[in-house]
Amino acid sequence: MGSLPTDTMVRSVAVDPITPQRVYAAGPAGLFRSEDGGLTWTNVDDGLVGEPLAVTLYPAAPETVFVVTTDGSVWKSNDGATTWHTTGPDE
Amino acid sequence: MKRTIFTLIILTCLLTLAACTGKTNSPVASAPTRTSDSIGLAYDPATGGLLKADNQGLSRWRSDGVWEKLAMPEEAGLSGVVVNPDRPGTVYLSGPGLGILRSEDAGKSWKETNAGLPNLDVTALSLHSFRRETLYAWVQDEGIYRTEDGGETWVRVPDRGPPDRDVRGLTHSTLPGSMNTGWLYAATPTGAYLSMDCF
Repeated sequence: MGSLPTDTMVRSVAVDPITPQRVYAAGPAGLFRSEDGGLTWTNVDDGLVGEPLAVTLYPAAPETVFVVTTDGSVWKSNDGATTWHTTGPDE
Repeated sequence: MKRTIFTLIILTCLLTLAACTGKTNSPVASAPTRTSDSIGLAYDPATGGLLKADNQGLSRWRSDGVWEKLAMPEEAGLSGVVVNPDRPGTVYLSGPGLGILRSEDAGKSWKETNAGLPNLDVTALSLHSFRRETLYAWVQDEGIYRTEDGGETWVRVPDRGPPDRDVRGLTHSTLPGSMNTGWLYAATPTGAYLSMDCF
């Protein structure tokens, strides 16, 4: 576990509505996930190519996470940001 | 990690104190700006797709892997988009120089919902986690505003906001420990900040 890099830009924050301690933060330094409401963070963009611009969740199944990168690509994770693949949202 | 914990603790204390000593700002004129440094992203249950609000306007991610630009009442950079998950046709947009727009028909038509805002430079927008008529907006150079009637009227929240006033995103959370209904995360160029929504 670790913290967000000090003084690092965060462009977007998403919160798991079922497990609100789980928070995602996207920015130029990458995508980070917290399991304690933001006290500590883990980098979770392994396999995700590009600079994250924004992050959001599918509210009814919040282990489904979407990230848009600076080149407009959409990345989807079906396991809470553990693994990633590029995709359209309804695949 | 220690610095992050310290920052969150101090910020929470400061914002809780600020809740008791807040002020109401008077409306002021503001020259509209048309570019946005913010980006909003929302899952749209009506289509199973994504909606993106950014400096290029409003776009929908199609299943064929293309961002489709959606028609807007006027060309404007956007800062945020939120969708009411209980009424998927209800969509809100924000933008600097634009204020806040609401659509009840999945974007076919839009209504300005700015009553009470001191200016139209809205750089971030968030929907409450379970009160679907409550939204929060960050107004540049002013602070956090809240509506409890779906955008019909906005009031200043007695909260000074994060130390970094360049708020690019707001997200509501039901994280335990709040004195009210939850918390607000603010995304800024210097990091993420947390504030209690006890107002």
